[in-house]
Amino acid sequence: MALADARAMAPDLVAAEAEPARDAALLDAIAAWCGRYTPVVALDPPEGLFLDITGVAHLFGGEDDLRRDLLRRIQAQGFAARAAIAPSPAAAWALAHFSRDAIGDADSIAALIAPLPVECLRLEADSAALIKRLGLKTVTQLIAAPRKPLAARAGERALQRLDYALGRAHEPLSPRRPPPPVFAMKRFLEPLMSLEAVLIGVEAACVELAARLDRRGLGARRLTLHLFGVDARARSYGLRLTRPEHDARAMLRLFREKLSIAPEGIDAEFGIEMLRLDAFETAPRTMMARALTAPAGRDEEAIARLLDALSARLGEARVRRIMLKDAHAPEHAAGETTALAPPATQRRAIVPADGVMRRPLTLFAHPERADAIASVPDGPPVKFRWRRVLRDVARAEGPERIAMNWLDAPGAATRDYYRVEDSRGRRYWLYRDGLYSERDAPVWYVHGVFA
Amino acid sequence: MEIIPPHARAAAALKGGAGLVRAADIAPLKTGAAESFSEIAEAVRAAPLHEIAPAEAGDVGAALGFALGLTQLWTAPLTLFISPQARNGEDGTLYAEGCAQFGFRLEDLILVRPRTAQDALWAAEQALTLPGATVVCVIAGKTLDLIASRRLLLAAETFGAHGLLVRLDGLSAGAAWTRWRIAAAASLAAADGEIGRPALRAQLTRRRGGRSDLSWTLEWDAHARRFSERAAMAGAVAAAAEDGPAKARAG
Repeated sequence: MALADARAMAPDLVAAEAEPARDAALLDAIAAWCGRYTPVVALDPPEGLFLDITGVAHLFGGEDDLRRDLLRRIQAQGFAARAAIAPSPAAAWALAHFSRDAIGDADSIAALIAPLPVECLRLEADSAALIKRLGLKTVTQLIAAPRKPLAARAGERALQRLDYALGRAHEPLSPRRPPPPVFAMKRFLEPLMSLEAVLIGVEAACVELAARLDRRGLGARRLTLHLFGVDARARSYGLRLTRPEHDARAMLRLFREKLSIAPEGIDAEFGIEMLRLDAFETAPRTMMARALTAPAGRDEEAIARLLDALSARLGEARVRRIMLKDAHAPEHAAGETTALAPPATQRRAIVPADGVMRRPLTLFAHPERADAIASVPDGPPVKFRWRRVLRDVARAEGPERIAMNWLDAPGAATRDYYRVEDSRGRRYWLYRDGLYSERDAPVWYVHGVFA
Repeated sequence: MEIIPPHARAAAALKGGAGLVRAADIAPLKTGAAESFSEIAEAVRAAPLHEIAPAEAGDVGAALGFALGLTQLWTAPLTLFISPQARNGEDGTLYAEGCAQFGFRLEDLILVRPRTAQDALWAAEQALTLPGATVVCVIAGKTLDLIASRRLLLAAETFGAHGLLVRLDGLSAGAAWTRWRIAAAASLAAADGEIGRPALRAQLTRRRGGRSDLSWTLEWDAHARRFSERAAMAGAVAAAAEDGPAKARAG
């Protein structure tokens, strides 16, 4: 119906332009919220969601209670919704859209779907039209129709849809987030308000997850904890680990650190009702082999635990290994990686034969301006003022000319580096930015400090 | 116990007056044969917690060098260098290439950059619970009080770990076994105008159950990975010449 016709019929009609992008974002947000029921949520745009509730219904008192709880909460947020539970996604879709019955199990589903119109199978438009033209109006008729001729006319896909709905074929779902191979969920009778209470819940989840990992002989290298509050806000805390972890106590310790330092606390304003602990990157445990290869006195497990704990609380970006890289520019000759990964192979460091350091012990991320006076234009500085102190240069070695890589720093000038010792024995790494041929007035920087 | 007063001139120099201080100006202390630096180093090796302070704000580089040098007293499974984020802007971050030239094994070094001093202390305490670990914690401010330093001491003692607290503010809290004041010192080199091996002036200002108020001029040997005491100043150049270019020793 055109808008004009609609307006003619209902003069006080309010028209709003469709906003598919925002609708999709909203659907995604609702899907995220549904994480409280299961980690496996698939989007069915524009307005549907599939939740795989295999093995979680008991937490909510059964399938019926789960469905009721879900609908009540969604409706409380101002959405109209229907929900149905069935052994296959296609059957659930059919029930939700066309049936009064909301729950079907493996035995009853065929009977529940049979009287529904063929549209409930989500057929493609042309095969739906064809099937209607053939006079097949309900699923029962479709089931009764000879399969081969029907497939030849309506297409294999139409029959595949039928098989999906009846549970004769498995319909793959594509969840919006990769489902965790192992997870544990906990639901609380009352919303938990304090961190201590939440941690007790986390402990229970850790124990359950560890037991599940144990059964499969696995450990997890990544854990994600989701806390679901009454306020429908999702809170997720991720952890990465140096090695596959399967010990509940270790997991709990890391989460305790993580949660106690979370910027605003966990902010359980109206309480936490549910939590879910997902394990990712699961891998078989390799504990025995390590003990044989590790050098004596080196407790790899203790090291791993320490690095996990530091990274969990402070964040991975704050616990680093430093390494040498193949680059000329001083800033790029050193790199860093997470401490959670084992040290990478790197360029061998060479200690200068005379024991004199050519590179400073500490480097400034941003070289600091210094006002320097050089005796000859291309020479080392005689005096320089840095951090408001004038320093007399007693000795200087250089220049070491380092051209910046044009890829990393396009347009950067060549640098002449000097190692400088002042009259008080302090040693600095200075450079003059730009050759005299490149620049009129040289600018000096302090880039690092020697021991 | 006999207490030898610090050499007046050296003390004046280390107090950091406005005057020009050259390490060469500081005459050697009469420390006595029993108190060579290598013996003190043995005492440091046996104790769990030490405090290192730069003599002046400009000596942070020397103090860090001293701390990193001391870490090599122990063969630790892991060395953690903890420095609050804010300090990194001020003092720069450890530079991998410089550390390698200093003789450090980068594989065993972990850099920790906590947001606050509290986090730094927490990280240091955690790290000290790793058996045998060596922990360098750079810290300023009152966060590290007596209670905090006793906690660190307890952790280090219990787990056989070693902690070096680099205190940038001149404050000190009691629990450390030795306390050091570190100033930069002019390096010695074979040729004139060249820069030599890392050198610093280390003053032992406190030592539990032993004589303090001793000081040495030390040079870092990146091959042997230890500090060597610079010989009496007069003979220093000759000694340096004698040493020649350090032989590359194993390790």
